[in-house]
Order: sequence, then structure tokens, then C-alpha cells
Amino acid sequence: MTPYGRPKGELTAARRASVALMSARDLARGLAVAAMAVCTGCSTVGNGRLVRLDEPAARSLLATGTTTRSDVLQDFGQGTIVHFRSGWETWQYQYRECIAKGWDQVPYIGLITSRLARPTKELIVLFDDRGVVRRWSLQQFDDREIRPGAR
Amino acid sequence: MARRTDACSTALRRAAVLALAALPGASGLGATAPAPAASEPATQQVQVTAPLPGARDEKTLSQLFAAQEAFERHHALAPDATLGFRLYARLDPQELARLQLWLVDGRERTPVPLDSHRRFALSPDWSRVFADHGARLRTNLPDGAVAWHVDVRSPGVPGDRRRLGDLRLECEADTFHGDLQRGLRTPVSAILDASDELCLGDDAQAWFAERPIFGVALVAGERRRTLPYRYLHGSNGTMAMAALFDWPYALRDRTYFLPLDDRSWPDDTLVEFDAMDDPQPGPSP
Repeated sequence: MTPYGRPKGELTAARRASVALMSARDLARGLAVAAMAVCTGCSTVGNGRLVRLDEPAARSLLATGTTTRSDVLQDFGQGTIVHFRSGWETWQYQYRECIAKGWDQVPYIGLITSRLARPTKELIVLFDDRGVVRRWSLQQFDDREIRPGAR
Repeated sequence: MARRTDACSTALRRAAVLALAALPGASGLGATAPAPAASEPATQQVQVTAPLPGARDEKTLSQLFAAQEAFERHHALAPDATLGFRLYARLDPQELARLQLWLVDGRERTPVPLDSHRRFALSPDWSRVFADHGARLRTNLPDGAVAWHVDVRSPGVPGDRRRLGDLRLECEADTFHGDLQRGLRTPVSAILDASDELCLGDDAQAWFAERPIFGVALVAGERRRTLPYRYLHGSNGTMAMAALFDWPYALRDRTYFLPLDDRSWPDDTLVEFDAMDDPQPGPSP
């Protein structure tokens, strides 16, 4: 029996259309919830210190040839690491408005979210094979500056 | 001298018998094998085994001609440029020292000279007939050890910079034409290519700088844009999808992508590199 009191297979055409419509509504509701999940809050890699970090503050915290990985870990939390064959590596910290953390890394979904034009701030720290800071860069950009077509 | 040789040979035979006897299961074999008759002359069998050489990294001459055709079709991107091809060590930079290249046509093998950057150009002696016969450009390195790249150079561009139009043309000549990059060719890519839009995607092609890089900037007159980190090192989730791209880990610190979809940058735009071992810039003015 169906929830509507009729044996299975005896749904009227109108009821079938109604059920199909409900399924479509459920799907639309699900997509809306997913979209809200993507666009809720901000995406931050690290401990959030990047949000208020400016260049003088970065310069005082990141002394090339002196500051170590553990210093950076303490100041900024864990960044996203890219390793190189040479033993060097980069730590990436990023703050993006409106994209919940992790979506950019999800296969296929990341293809869309990583292309959404949002104000972004990023700090990249380069460590040598001894774990000492060699370079760093701090920049803010809006993807629309990179891709005018994304407007 | 002859006696000494006989003595050595006998000693060797004894050692071989002892070694065989020491092998697990050898005694069993000895028990079932028929004993040689006393009058039968002793024979010595020597078996030499060597691994067959695996497949070598290679491209067909047809692929290079296809790249040339696409290069000529899109030549307006770099009117003064010349077409070449470049080989990179994809897995182990040490292998570059022993890298060699040949044109293989049937049983004939002709060396192809490489310059100091491991570049070569199509020789006027290479004809379509060779290509139709299945001629190949073959390296001496195992399959997968080499990253092949179309190399387009306009005259007058400093060695530490690249011209954007040259790089756009490299993409056009390679992707779906020369097809030199490794990786999957997705149906979506095929559709975009059919409409000549594939090289308008920022992840259509990976390039490799001469040195490990920490930044890439586009410069056109007064306009300058330092690219976000996602264009470097395959650091972005999408661009790091190894299956889709020629993913040479040995070259990761030199890898960059470009915002090819932004056509507001003219072809004469220069691509500048900030090397990892450059000094940290001073405070911004």
C-alpha cells in the first residue's frame, strides 16, 4: 500500500504527476541546502590570523633565514603544504569570503567553487630543506581582477 | 697452460655442483635426474639472461607534424616565432645528463641533436612519408621519464621571461594536436577543442619555468598582475588532478598555469618569474 491508501501501481495520473513534482521540489530543496552550505561563512586556512595580517606584521613575524616551521605553525597554524623534490616546501594560508572550508578541494565541485569570484587574501611561506623561511608573500586580490569574464 | 685451464674448469664445475646441491630442493632433483654414463662426455650449459629493454619514451613524427599544422594555423599569436620541441626530465632530473633522441624509421635510427635546453626542431629532411610509415622520435629513457613540450619562441624576449602569445600558441599546438602532454583527454576538452576554446581555460596547459619559482606576474606596459598561488606548483585542487595533466613531480617547483581565459592581456604581455632563490623583496612603498 502506498501512503495514500491505494495499492501500489494504482496511482492516478494526477497523483503520479504530484509525486514527480514533489521529487523535483525535494531535489531543488536539496540543491538549495547544498548551495547554502557552500556559501555559508568564509573559508580560512590556518588559525585565522591572516584575516587581520598586514605587510609590516608579516615582516616582523617572518624573518627570512631565521624563522622556522615551528615558529610559523605557532603563529599561523597549519597551512596547506606543497612538497618539492628538493626538500623545500610551501605553506599556503588563505582567506576567502563566502566559501566554506574545503569545497575548493572537492573533485568536480572544486571546479566550480574555485572559480567563484570572491575577495581573497593569501599568505605563502617558502621553507628550505632545513625548515627555515626563505621567502614569503602576502597579497589580496579579487578574482575579477584576474578574470574580467567572471563578473 | 692447458692443464691449468682444465683444472680451473673442473674446479668451477665442482663449485657449481656444490652450489646446486645447496639450493632448496636440489637434492630431490638430483635424485630423479638420470646419472650420466661414465663414458658420456661432460657438457657445460651456460644460460645468460638479461631483462628485455622496456618501452622507451617516444612520440610519433605524425604528432609533431600535427603540432606544426596547429602552430601554422594559430601563427598570428606569435607571428615572428619559431616552432621547436623541448624535453624535460619528468621524474628524475639526473636522467637529463644521459638523454638522447633518435628518429626511428623502421630499422634505421638517426640521432637528433638537442641543444643545451634539450630542444630540437623539425628537420626539413623529415617528410610526411616517414610519418605515414610510422616514424618515431624515440629517447633512450624509459616510458614516462620524459615530459615533451611544444616550445615556441619569439625573437627578442629575454631568456628569463616568456611572451604570453608564445605560450598561448604552445597550448594551441599541443593540446589535441601535437598531443604531447600526458594525461586524459576528457570529452569536455574535446568539445572545447572542436570549438577552438580549449586554450581559453586556465588549466588547459602546464608550463615549466627555467628555475624553481615562487611567483609569476603578467606585465603589459604599466599593467602588472601577480598571479595567485593557485597558478603555481599545481597547488590548486583542480590543477593538481594528476590524471588530467602531465604531472612531472621533478618539475613541480617550476610548474605554472596561466589565466588563458582572460583575453584582456595582449599577446605581447611578458610573463615574469620570481625565483625561489631570489632575495625577499623590501617593504612596499
